[in-house]
Amino acid sequence: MDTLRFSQGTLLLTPEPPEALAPCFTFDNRTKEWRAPAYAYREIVLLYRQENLPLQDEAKAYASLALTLQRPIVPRPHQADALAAWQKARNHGVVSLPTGAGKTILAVLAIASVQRSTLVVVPTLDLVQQWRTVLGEFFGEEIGVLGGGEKKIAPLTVATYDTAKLMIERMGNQFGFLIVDECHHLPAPFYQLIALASLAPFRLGLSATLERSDGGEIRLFELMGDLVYEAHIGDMVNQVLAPYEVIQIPVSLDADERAIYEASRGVYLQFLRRNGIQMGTPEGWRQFLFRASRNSEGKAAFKAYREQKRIAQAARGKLDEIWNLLQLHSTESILIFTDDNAMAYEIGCELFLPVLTHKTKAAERKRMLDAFRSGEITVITTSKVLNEGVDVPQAQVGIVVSGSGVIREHVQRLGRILRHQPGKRAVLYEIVSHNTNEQFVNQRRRQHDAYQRSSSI
Amino acid sequence: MLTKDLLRYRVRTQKVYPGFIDPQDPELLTLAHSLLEIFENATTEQEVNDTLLQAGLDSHAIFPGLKKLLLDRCTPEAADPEVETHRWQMFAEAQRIRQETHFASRSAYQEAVAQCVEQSFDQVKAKLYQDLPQYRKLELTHLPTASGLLHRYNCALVQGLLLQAKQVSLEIGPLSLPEKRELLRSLKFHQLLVEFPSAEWTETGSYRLEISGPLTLFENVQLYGMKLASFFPRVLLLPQWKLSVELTLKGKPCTLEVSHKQGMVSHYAVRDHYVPPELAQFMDSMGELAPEWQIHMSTAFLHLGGQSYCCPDFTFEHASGQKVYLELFHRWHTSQLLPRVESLSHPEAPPVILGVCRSITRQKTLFPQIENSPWFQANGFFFTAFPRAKVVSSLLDSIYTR
Repeated sequence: MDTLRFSQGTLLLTPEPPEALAPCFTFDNRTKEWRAPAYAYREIVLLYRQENLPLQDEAKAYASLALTLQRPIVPRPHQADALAAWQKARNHGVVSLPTGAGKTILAVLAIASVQRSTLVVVPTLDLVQQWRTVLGEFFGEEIGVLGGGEKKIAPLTVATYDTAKLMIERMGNQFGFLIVDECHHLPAPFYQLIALASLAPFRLGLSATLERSDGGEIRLFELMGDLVYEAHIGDMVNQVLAPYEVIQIPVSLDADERAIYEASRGVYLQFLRRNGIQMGTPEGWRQFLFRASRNSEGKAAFKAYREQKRIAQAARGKLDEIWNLLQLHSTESILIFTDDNAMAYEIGCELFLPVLTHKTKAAERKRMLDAFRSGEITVITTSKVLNEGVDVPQAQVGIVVSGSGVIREHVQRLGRILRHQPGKRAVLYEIVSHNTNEQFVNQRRRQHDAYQRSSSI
Repeated sequence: MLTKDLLRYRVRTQKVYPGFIDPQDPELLTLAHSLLEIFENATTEQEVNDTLLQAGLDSHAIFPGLKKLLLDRCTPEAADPEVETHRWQMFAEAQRIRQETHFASRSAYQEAVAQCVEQSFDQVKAKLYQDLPQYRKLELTHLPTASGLLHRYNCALVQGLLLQAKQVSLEIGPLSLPEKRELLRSLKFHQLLVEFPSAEWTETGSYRLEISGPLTLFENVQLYGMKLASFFPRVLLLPQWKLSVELTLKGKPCTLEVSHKQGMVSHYAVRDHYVPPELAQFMDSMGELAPEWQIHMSTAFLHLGGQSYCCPDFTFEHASGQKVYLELFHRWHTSQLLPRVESLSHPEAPPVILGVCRSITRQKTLFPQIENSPWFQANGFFFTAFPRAKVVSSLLDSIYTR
């Protein structure tokens, strides 16, 4: 009888594949064995069944579970539709829902329906804690955690992308169901291993922002299954998401800031012109970096580029505007977003505000988010770690102090304040240095339809 | 290791040329000395940064890379819990004041909050996030010498490029048995696979090993870069080698070639290949008990199929020309014992006698599997401290007469 084994993210078949399965396997000259990638497990087992061939399956090490929901879930119509579409695709595929539309609940329903050991992969430690809490509450089980210094595997386990990537070759056969949250990250070269080396026959990818500038979503669908359900922010405002508006606040640079900004920008632009570099083209940035590293003039231009960017992003006037907004919304829950940690800590120190960055210790992160959810603190300043996934339904006001031109980042930031609560109306402020390059960056990131118009209310 | 932004290299006609530095260059040695001195004297990362800025050392192109390599050797000491307690008190006070009072200006608010704890705004501000890693005392572990730091930089340049590697070939010159063992052990440790050149890997030949991971067979993507990068310093310990790497840089395919000729030096320790005096005693006894067998320390590399190989400790050569090998298994590598017995049980396996340290009797699952193996009963034996010549001699006779 043929025997299938799991080895370092691959499947080994002995003695050799039957004719019908030959295309699935490749003879590995290094080990003199027939090998297939672990993610082909589902296809291989189904083919054996289809051909009515005997197979000793020593590859899978995951269990069928008998999970029961500790409290019933009545799915919202879009969650029921998404679950049905995913089940119809034989428990395989990607679901795209806006932030706040209940992707985690959809995943809980999927786990309850599949009843297999499940690995949930998430991008940040805050999301690990969030998923651990939700899964623990709904299934009444101890949840395994991989990441942030914890290393415990359980039938339901949550891992960060970084830890899963390191461990998947050893544990890729221990889970029958793979859930990848914020799955737009998966096509990155190092993260692909998570999906390739897992034999999980059931897969669910979740994201609010599937588009990738490198077209990587095609690869995502190869690894996790096709896009089976999609809904947009505009479809869900009022019923599922809070109504919202986006307000731009222009800020003028102080005279000394303006002088340094103009001088630095002049040096930078002159270098671009002299070297015929067009930053609007896909090759522009790469050309600039290459030329800038070649001589002292280039190095000066690079320094000038960074200086004008720093001044625009961290203009003094922005602190005053933040202060005005804090007074205007003194009792509401506010998230303040910056492009880098330095600015986040500057705001935190100037206004005595909690700052949550990747440097914040895990215990204090949890304390901060719990305190925010309970209303003990009403403001959190953050750089990028709260961009994705973290569930803070109380957040009603968002203040974007600085950011990149990446559309995804800004849709995700908007999503943080859109969780529906009775009577809630969300406001996203964007503080932009007037008459600087930041205005163009701001325009670029507002190309998503969620930014084209505020909600109709 | 160096991050992508710190790598210095040029690409010409799809070939990558790392920006190697000369570790003997007096100017660079002075720079490295100064950096090390600053790290040794500074108490925090912030202090390191401030001193570096004052010293004007940041103008040199390789400075950020050297600094990163040194910071990797430093760990900030544990945070003072008092700072966090104070911070949360300040959050609570500030929120209460913000919600209770409307202030005409930001500075009025700042003063009001600071007064609550009877301090100035600047004092409160300075203490608020004083437990961030950059403000904590650095604990230094094994800082390299100035020349060691420069060598490490060259190694890190290649390691950084290997992170993007898709395919790696390693050409190696003649290796002694301990060197082969070390190389293969290291490949196994890093879970890398190699395509072995041939069943016989003699001491004089040169070989080309294709190094990759299991999934490389299907996916032409950089999945094993980290493992290859960690393995690379071990390559530097080989006497003669050449590494050819296929990689993708900024979306474009290119190749990197490096070899022992660049004079890179590994920061990994060379293992001591200690030979105990009992060995010589054992060889003498064998010469007396079985004079028809010539015994010598083995240099053989036996490929047993797949990724299974055996580097026996002794080779016995009969007057008739027949060779039999003896491999000794001690308690620290018993994990490979069962797979070895399985490999050697194969009808086409080379003639090997297996000596197993008696301490494995404590391993309740493994011991009966070995003891009851028909192959082991015919070709193996247990020993306490060192094999007895009489036992080995009788096994040699039995194999010869088979």
